[in-house]
Amino acid sequence: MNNFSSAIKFFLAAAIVIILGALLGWYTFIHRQIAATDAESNARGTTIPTFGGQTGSINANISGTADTGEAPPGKAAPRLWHVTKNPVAGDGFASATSTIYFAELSSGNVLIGDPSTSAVVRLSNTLMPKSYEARFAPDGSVILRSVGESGAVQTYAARLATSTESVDSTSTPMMLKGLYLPQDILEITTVPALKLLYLISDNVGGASLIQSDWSGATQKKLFSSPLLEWQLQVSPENTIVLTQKAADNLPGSAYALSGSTLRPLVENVPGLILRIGKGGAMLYSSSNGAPDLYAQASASAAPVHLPIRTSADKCVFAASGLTAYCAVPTANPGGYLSARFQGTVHTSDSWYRIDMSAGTAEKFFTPDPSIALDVENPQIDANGLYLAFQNGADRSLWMLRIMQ
Amino acid sequence: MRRIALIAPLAILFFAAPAFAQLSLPGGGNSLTIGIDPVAPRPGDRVALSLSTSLYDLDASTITWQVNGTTIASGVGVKNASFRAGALGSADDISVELVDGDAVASAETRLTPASVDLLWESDSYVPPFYRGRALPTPGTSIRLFAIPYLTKTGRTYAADQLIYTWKVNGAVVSSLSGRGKASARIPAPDLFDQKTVTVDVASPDKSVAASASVTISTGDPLVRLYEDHPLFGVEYFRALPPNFFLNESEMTFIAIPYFAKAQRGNSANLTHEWRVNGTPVAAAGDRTDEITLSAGNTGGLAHLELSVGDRTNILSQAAGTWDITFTKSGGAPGATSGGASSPFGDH
Repeated sequence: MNNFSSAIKFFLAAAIVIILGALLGWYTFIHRQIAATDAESNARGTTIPTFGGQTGSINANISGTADTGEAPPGKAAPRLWHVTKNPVAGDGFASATSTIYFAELSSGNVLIGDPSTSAVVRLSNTLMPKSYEARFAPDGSVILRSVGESGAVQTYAARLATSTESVDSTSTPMMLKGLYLPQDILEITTVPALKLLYLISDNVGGASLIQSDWSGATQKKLFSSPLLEWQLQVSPENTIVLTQKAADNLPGSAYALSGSTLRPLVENVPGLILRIGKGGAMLYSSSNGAPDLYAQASASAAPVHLPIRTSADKCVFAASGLTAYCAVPTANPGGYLSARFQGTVHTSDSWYRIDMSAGTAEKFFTPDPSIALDVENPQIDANGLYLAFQNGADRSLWMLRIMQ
Repeated sequence: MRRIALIAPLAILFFAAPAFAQLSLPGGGNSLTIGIDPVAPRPGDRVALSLSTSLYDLDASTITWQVNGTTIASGVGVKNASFRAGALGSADDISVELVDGDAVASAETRLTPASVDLLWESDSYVPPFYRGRALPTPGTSIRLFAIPYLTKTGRTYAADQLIYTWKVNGAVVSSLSGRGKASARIPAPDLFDQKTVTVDVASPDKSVAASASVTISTGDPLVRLYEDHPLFGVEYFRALPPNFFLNESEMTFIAIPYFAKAQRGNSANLTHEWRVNGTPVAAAGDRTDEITLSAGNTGGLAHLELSVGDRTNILSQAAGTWDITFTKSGGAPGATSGGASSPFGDH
């Protein structure tokens, strides 16, 4: 009996030793794996993500408020502020303020940046992975666009559960609430009074221009076109402008939609890109391999050839329509439009102020030579104080205070 | 004194749409002829007028040109004049008076400015959210859209009331032409060829007309290589150059066949032949447009080749090559290029 009891004790002790040994081995293995993962992450130039913080994992770990440069959170941002290094899907100024909404390309999360405090706060926590394009309404409502498994373009129209235009570091991220619009929308833009305007393929090989409310409940067909490749804009007076998509050397035309007919604005301009401002003011560019820019101060004015070489998609009108701001490449890459659109070249831009009435351009900001900014999707706040834009080279978001 | 009053029709027919046309007015050998260029002016166009006759000595005659009652040119031997066509919906009454000694002759006509815009685009492939226009390549189709601006007595004709005549390289395409046929679809020209497409638009009574032409040529599709990033997806904003360094041991690449005949980048009609350092490599799974390269722990050089073909058109091909140096050790670009060994085999 004693021998049996001793044997049991021996086996129990042995089992405990084996279990402890196995646990120690497992701990050692895990520890080594963590070290290996850390080393691999360091080699990739990244660090292990953390998942806390107001700006969320991606923004905090790739960008975060550290991008404010010399201005720590709580202090005003520098004149040229790198709001986030993270690729963004799109951005838009909040109404009547200089705070900027933006959506991360990777997550579709909506964040807001405030240049007066350098704060960047995450507003939504609804994951919308790989959102390639985002359009904002001034209240933060957002259109997120992605590509589904089948290759079809998905368009999600969403509103934040509670609208906010202040950057409060204590605020809690909210869910995006919205719905998917029909698949394969070709182009979409927001319209004042919370309307949407989108172009979608029809069933006869053309496209239909649809005006919709944000919920998609009420839809109105405004126009049918045998062509699909239009770029949509809405003027401050709510005139809908359709411009043929541009390619180097190919003539393009732009039209204002009047009822259901097209009224020509600019016709047969090679590589035409057009921006519409208040009172019929227009900036448009041609591209025969290199861009030329023209200003037309009003619908009835004659166009003036500006002394700067850039394309109109690098320009934005101030609210008055009398002033515009354009990013101008310091050097002209060949095959200007196609190369930029395909991401094969990127420019390094300076900023110019355009006096539409005088037809003059004056340089007012050149970034530090170490910073190459290929300006895309420039926007201006309602007060005319800040410009926001993406750097086409990495889709990161920047803001520039216009006045020194 | 002789006076030959010659009245032109109220409008001009422009179906033949020559570069220069003349109005032959009644009166046989006594006629004055007003030449108008362009024959179908658009609103605001500069219109050139010329006078010819077989009866009078124009160089010795005093000639007076008027448009809408306003003299635009006058003098001895002034055979030519010009004016700017009026706005859409207006009409320009043109008159010319010739005095040759005792002889006086005149002619009149009316121009109704009209125009038609002829827009076109290709249905070739461009990736989602591409900001530019798709370009035509062999095997693709061209979509055409005529936007007419025809008026008469202040009334604008609706596009579906008008009669459209489509021509390709001068030959009428009956199947595309007819009342209300403002759009057309034609095959893109063959490689390095071109097509001139003309649309003539006329009012139902053929009293007002306009014409427009475009010349369309084709090129080859082209292929660009992008990273398909696990977080950010396809980085369309950053095409990979022919030579580049990667501080990664593995990366997934996607080939975008710009302007190919395809609905999607990996459409079934497209073939993708990948080679790494000369060795054919099959793409994993259904995504033949993607390839993942892994350098393991050693780094190295991968010479990547891709040929994209079209099963339905052997003439349509795009190809690209890229030299990718994996610098797993994290060295600065170029620092390892000289001694980079290749885990992908000899190059």
